[in-house]
Amino acid sequence: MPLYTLASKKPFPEQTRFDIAQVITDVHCGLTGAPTEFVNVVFMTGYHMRRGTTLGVNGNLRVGGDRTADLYDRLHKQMHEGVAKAASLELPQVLLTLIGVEPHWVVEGGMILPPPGEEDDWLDRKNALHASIGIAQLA
Amino acid sequence: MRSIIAIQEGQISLEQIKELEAVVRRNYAQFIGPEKLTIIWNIAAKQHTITDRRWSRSSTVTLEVPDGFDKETRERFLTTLEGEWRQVTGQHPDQLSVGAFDQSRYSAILKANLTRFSTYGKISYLTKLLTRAFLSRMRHGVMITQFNQ
Repeated sequence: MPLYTLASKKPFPEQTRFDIAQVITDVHCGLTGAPTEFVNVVFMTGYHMRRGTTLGVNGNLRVGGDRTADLYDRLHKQMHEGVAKAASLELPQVLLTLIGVEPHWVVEGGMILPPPGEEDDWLDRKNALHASIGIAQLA
Repeated sequence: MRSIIAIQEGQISLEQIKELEAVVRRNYAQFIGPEKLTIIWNIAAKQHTITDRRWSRSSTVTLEVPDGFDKETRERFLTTLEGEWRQVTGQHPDQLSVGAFDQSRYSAILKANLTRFSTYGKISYLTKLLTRAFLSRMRHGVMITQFNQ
């Protein structure tokens, strides 16, 4: 979490998919302070999109903590612009929807996710937990 | 109640999927309740998922639970299911996300997914999804479909 799913009719080239995912990671983590390891991006192709839309982006992300309504507004705007540019599309061709999810509804890394703003402490506890049971960090 | 489980192509064998589905159902019945649970496995094609800036080997399990479900029980459900899942697959903890969403929010997320599509696109998507899922259940006993149409 966050989980961003991107739907389109035609597949984007592999490099473009990779580049779009980097932009999503940059914008999301740059604005929210979330660690990059939280960010998942899934591409889905073969879908008949609504009129005028080439790429539909849905993001499910944590709510609460230190996140404000203003932050979500800025996230929406910058994500919309960044994805459109990376996909070489005009802004109206990209439909972006963000839906909030309570952090304690999700487990990642073997632990309940923290409220936004408490990631550093959570990562320290997670790494300590993994070390205590002999799990190495992912290469 | 519904559950959608996203896995990577070639990541988990059919026998493991069956074992994992049994794990999900047992834990759901134990912690959440006796409601009927429809589980759909959604397979992502290679090089179509990115986690932490890299092509992903992660799995994402999402489940629907009653609105306002007890926080402590929900968290015990999630951590127990996460641990039992990894015992089957041997995945690293950072390669697994398990979520139990309030029913109303889960419905909102699924509705938003469909909002992207044209009317024909919604019908086409749901028809393919259900056809693939039911054919899979007939053949394998579990409902498996794929992200790419």
